[in-house]
Amino acid sequence: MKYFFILALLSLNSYASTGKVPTHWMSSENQENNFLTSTNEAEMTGLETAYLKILNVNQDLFKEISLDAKKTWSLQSIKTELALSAEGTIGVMGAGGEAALELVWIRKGTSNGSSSFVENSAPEAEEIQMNGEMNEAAILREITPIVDMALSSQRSPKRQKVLQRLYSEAIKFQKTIRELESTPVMGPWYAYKYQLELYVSAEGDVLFFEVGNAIRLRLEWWRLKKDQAPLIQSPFAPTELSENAKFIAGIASDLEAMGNLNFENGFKLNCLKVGVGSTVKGNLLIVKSKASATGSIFFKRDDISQESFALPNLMEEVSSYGMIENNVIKQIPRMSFRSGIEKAAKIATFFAKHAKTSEESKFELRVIETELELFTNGGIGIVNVEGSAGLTLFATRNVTI
Amino acid sequence: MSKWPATATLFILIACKHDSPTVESIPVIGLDKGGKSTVNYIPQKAFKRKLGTFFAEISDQVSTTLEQYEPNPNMPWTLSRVSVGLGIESEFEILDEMIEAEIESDIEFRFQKI
Amino acid sequence: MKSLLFITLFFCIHAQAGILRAPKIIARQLKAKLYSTERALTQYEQSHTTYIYKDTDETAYYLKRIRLLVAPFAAFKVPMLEIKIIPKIEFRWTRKNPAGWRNYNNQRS
Repeated sequence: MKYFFILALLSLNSYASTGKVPTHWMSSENQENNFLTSTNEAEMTGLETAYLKILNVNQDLFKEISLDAKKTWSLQSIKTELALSAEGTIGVMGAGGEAALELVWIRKGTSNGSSSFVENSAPEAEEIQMNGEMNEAAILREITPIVDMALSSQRSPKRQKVLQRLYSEAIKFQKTIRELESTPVMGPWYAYKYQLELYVSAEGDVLFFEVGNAIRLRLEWWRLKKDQAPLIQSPFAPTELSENAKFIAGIASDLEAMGNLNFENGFKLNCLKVGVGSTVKGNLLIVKSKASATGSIFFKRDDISQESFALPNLMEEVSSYGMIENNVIKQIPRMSFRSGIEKAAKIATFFAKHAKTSEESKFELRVIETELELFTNGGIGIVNVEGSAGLTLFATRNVTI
Repeated sequence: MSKWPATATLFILIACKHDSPTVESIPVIGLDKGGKSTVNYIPQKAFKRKLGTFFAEISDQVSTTLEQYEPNPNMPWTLSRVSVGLGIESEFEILDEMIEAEIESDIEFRFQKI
Repeated sequence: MKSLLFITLFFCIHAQAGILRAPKIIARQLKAKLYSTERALTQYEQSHTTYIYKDTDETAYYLKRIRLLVAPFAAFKVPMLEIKIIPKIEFRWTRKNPAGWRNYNNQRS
């Protein structure tokens, strides 16, 4: 009989401690000081153990995949998602809700997650015609085949409706980014691309959020500069900047609060995606949830260290950012946002720092996207499955963004 | 012989429900119909056994198909990546109780040309 | 007994075929969608490409990448694995920068 008790005790001891993130990681509380040491050490150890276990499970799934070196098209990377319950338990992403972490595993032996194939083999772009205004006919000509491509994948009789909607969004975007062109250099961080995301339902409705069997269309406008561009000019005086240019410049400056964090395992924080919406007048706002987003602005930081020069941070001119939540615009104190960014960096740091790839695995974890929720008081936390993510912070290792 | 130790043991083992973690289980986080978060613990081995072979086959088939793709040389746009996302719904048996764990859009395979 | 053995064998083979069939179906659908989307995108006129520019003509935004996510068909079951698959496919199309232009960075030179 004593063996029954031993067996029972062993069964009880086989319970694993759950991995949970500290509660304040998910809340609006910024907690500037002693971010990690103020939390329970046992709790952090449990979280690390649970996190590593899930990473190992992910890698075990890839074991049987054979990678044929002779093929020109092959599996280069795999993306998986992790989520947090409302109580903070970390686990594999299930059905419904927001993912907290998106992990990109890249095949070992490749230089980075992107291919140089496009640059080498695509046909030369046509001569560029520069206009004072982006000609509306030109916009229509540019997006029409994109609409046709999207609709070719489903039966939708409402081509004209989709075309009209996408065209109006492109026009709106054109007006917005004309102002972004004047955004001054505010430090190592800068806006490098704008992404417009739309869903087209089977009925031909164009929406900003996913519904049913909609197809998703993402258009990316990348910022370019001329090969022979002169040295960076001094920033414009604040009075010369539009509201949107100040918005972008302010956020780029606030990203400096993250500091230049590098880790022993090669990860670094070098990209941030901000979901944006706009007022009727066209002023940019940060969005609380993706359903309100009309697009996203991506900021990045170059690897090369910058020559230091004094730059204005527009703290007096930009004291708050607009945020749209449930169709209501609220003002987020900029200093709180800045503190929130610093907290977000520390959260992302934890997951990047403890990311381990087994030596046997054919894929290496090289990109960790931390999904963040922005609160009304400017606080930022990692999103749980019930929340809404408006910001994404990228930690990358040996990957060119 | 008293039966109560065996009964107690059986009771303890039954108390090990699917909503409790064990070393060999992994948590799956989702939302219920009311929009509240849920945590289900599913057997790690079953999870890996079910999906590992399938993923290998997907990778092979998609690679082979893309190898046969001949792009239009005159098109200004180049196909730079193809992603195959797999939403997976599965049932796992835990202590004679069949529970349904849904995992959707969890894994995305990305194919590129070298 | 022989009948039982035969029936069991039949279902095992059928289930095994289910595992192999699903990836092939996904690959076949991918091929069909790939060519249909390429055909539509090929309609793009190769005339002048315009883009927004700044007053000093030094920087601009350029439509460089398109990503299209489609769900080619409804979910299907793989009996032996007792799983249901809901596949989604995304095509990412990219084009080169115009001649004389490169991706923006903050470098001084």
